[in-house]
Amino acid sequence: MKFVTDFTLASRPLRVGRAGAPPAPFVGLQSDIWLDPSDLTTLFQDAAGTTPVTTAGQSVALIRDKSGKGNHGLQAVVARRPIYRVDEAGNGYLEGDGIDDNIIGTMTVPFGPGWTICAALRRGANTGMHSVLGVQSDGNINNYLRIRADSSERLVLMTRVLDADIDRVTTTSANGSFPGTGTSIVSVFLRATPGNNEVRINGTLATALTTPSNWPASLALGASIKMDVFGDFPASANQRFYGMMVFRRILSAAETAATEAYLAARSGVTL
Amino acid sequence: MRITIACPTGLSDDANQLAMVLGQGAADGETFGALTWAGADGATYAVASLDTGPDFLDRATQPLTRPAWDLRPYLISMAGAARAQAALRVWTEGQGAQPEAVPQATPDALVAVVGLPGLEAIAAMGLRRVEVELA
Repeated sequence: MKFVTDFTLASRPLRVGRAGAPPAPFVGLQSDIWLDPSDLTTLFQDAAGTTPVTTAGQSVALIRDKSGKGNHGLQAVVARRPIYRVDEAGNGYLEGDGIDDNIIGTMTVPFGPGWTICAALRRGANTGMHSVLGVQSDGNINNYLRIRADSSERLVLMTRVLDADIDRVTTTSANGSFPGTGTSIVSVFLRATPGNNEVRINGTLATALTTPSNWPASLALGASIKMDVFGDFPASANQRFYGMMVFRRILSAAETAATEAYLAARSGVTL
Repeated sequence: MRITIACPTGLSDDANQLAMVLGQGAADGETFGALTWAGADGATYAVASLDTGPDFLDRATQPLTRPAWDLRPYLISMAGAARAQAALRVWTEGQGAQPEAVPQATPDALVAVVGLPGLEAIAAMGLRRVEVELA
């Protein structure tokens, strides 16, 4: 089955393909991190990128960024590496053990006008509060945004700024358990200017969190920002990671829909 | 083969030396980090869980050799790694006619459970996640 959209951006067609299709999801939509576990040519068993992943069941130390920006996902510690697997539909993904596994993509600052993070995830067994995705400054680990699921499977957004008290908002996602009982497409919008950060699940707005007053300057204290694919170690998620695209800007509605459609096709989700 | 290891506070330095000997590089010195698991007595543990090849346990239980990547001045304390090895207590699923119960995590040993899924192994060792505000 082939999935094609006719979104048009900058007078050029956007094409969306499922696993096995050509790697570029849409012409003209430039991401800053693009991790695609379905593409075996991007997966390596060692951090140096010399031993490729060739079959399911092998651990992944490096997943190369397909955005062209060089923001690769890395895990140098052997015990923290997720496992490459293939689901019943033939879609490749990384499996985190919910204990210590993680992949960390690094982006250089500045933060820019905001970020959009779109990811395809499938939660495993409920093991209590755990992180789903995380963003933190490399200059101060106490400056972060966490996207978590609690033991009641509610979506939890947490921010911490300049070591100040934790500013936490807990809310139940609009379309059921977070990030859902099946595979879910999670989109997060982090605005640099005052306003709301938003989380969409499978194309629907799930919740909003008012931007802290000193956000995101605090997050950019260091030279780069770390994007935790399985959330923040050591609260790593017991989940499947089908892919992620990160943009150093707020996507338009059409761009968001196209990105979510691409990730949905990659992970077997019907939006 | 999944191996899950519970490391008590007092053994984490030595355990990380052993992790470097058995791992691939200096980064493995961070294998046992935050103490995010607790036993019934309140003692806290760092836990590492990974899929390994069949030779991993052999290497973990035989005389240790300094890895080729560790050049002078040495990074690894082989004495520390040896202390961790001496504290290693391995339980393997299905071993023996009447398998013993999974040993409980204890402050004086590195308890390693082989063959169980990671979270299942942690529960079998009597550990629960410490619900803390993680920085």
